[in-house]
Amino acid sequence: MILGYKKREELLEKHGLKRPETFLVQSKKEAVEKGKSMGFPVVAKISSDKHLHRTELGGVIVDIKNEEELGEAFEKLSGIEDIEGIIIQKQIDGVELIVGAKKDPSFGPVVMLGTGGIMVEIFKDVSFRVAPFKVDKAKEMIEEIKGKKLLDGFRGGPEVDKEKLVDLLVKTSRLAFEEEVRELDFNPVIANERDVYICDVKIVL
Amino acid sequence: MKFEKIFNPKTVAVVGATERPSSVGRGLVENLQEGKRDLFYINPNREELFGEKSYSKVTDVSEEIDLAIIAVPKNIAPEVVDDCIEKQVGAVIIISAGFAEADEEGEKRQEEISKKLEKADIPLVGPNCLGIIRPPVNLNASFAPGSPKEGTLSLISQSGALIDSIVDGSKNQNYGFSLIVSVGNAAGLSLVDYVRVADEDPNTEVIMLYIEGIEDGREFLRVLEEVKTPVVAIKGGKTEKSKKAISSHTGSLAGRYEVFSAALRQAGVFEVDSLEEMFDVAKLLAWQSGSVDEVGVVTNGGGAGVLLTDALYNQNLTLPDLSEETIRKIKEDMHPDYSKGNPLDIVGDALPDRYESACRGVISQENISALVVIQTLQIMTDPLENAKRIVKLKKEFKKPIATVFMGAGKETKEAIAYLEKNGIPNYSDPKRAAKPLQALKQKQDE
Repeated sequence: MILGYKKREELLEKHGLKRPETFLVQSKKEAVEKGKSMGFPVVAKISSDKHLHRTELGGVIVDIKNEEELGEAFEKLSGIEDIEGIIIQKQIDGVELIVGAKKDPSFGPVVMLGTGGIMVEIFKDVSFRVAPFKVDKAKEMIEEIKGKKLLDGFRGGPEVDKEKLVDLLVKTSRLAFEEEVRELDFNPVIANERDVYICDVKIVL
Repeated sequence: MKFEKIFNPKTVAVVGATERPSSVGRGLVENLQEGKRDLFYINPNREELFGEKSYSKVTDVSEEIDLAIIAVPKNIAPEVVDDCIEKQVGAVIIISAGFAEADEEGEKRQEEISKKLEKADIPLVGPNCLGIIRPPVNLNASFAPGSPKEGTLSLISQSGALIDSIVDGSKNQNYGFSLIVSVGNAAGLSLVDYVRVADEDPNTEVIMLYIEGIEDGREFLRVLEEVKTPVVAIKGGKTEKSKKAISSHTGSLAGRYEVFSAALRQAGVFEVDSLEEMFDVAKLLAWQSGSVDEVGVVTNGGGAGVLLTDALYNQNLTLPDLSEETIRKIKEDMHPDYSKGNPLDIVGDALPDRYESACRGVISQENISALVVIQTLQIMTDPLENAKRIVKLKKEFKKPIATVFMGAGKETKEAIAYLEKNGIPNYSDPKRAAKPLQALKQKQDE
């Protein structure tokens, strides 16, 4: 069962996992209102438990700089079928990572960390640990990925707050273990010097 | 040792013993006969076997039976098990196949046997296994092609046939075993049970695992995290034929093998990709201890030195420069064209004195924690004497030393045997020395 928006947010809150400012809206007016209140740039994307790869559907629009663009974006996205609404979210810049969880038939809940983006399944730069775990294992996961240099201010990119990333991994491991999640994607998780932001969530129980 | 009746029985009954050539029953008996134990042959079709009385049932034997080994057709096995329970044997090994690995009927058969033996509190090895071998007590309760040398390696394998090849292969090698277990269908004792036994065995210095599948991954992880003996493992079966309906990126990336491999790392188990690697690593882990950080290399051949350096860097190991002090120490004994660096190429005409001076200089350098000595056989090389000097240095300094004596001629083999019998692992290819050093490094990083 793929969790809908509200249930996802509840689960994350229960485990102390923060999201960047995010709103699920049903009307253009609401969208623009929220966009204004958050401050641009923002991201607009469809919320749907039917679509796995929204990028391919044109279901994600980034770099929305003002109300006009936001209105247009809303209209465009509303045309897509089988959605429960449009998500408006503050746009965050930083290093793109993926954090996930899966129930393995032998080992039970396992947490994954990887360098993200849509090419994660091509590069497969990921590490795993069996959940639940604490800080030391989370640190090992970070050391094991090839892209770890990206977290250290690579080519003008931000120096990521690793402690917050470690904290996110530990909390995700607890969520995966306690809720017996079948599959979970936090993709992307955007990390910069201020914080680590779960920008998108998919949970299958 | 726990399960003493399995691993050091005083009396053994072989059910299904037979003189028929090339049979499992005969193989078992011949292997068992090498130890000095009281053996009882159970075969209702014979009155006499191997010059001794043959019994119809286990219950006909008046003495106590510590270990009963059952090698009878699968449909007779259940009644034999009943006899063993009645006789109150100390432990049972079922060699026979045709249980859970075969079909549903076999699974039921296994389930029943397993329950009965558990109720009777009689430990069970197998079914569908090769048996167990314990050289230190001269026990070979298996139908492997012979007995391996005694030593400090232990092997727990989910493949019996691999054990056969390993036992045969070990005849040409300088390593020996403390414990070898063929796990079989694990209806009684499981892989982790044997790991615990090996960990507690004072003769075992390294545990090698061949694994195809683990049912309870969490228990596996927990036990292996606790175990103090270093463990090296090889996983058989890495590709998944089909992936069920996947709804997420994580679902698609977290394949059974990827998770398993990560779990091994999490448990501090060193994973290898081949049997050759497994023994390469095991030799070093078993015979030496000490921390590995930066490595010093002494060689009488530049090419071999380069190959080793490449392999070391590939395993994230580094070679520090030679210090001024080291160069000062060795300068006089070196060939004018020596490399003045690390790897220390002491040139092809190096004799034992030069080897010793170079090795001593390098290994005593403070920031060098491990030494690898390469020897390429040249006209004037003296392999055995070189080996003796290296062993001498090993006793003096406590740092890990491995050698790459290349070639397989008589003199080289003699030298290699000398090295390995003195606890210095040799690798015939420079590349093969790298992973073992990385494994030793990881062992003390925990």
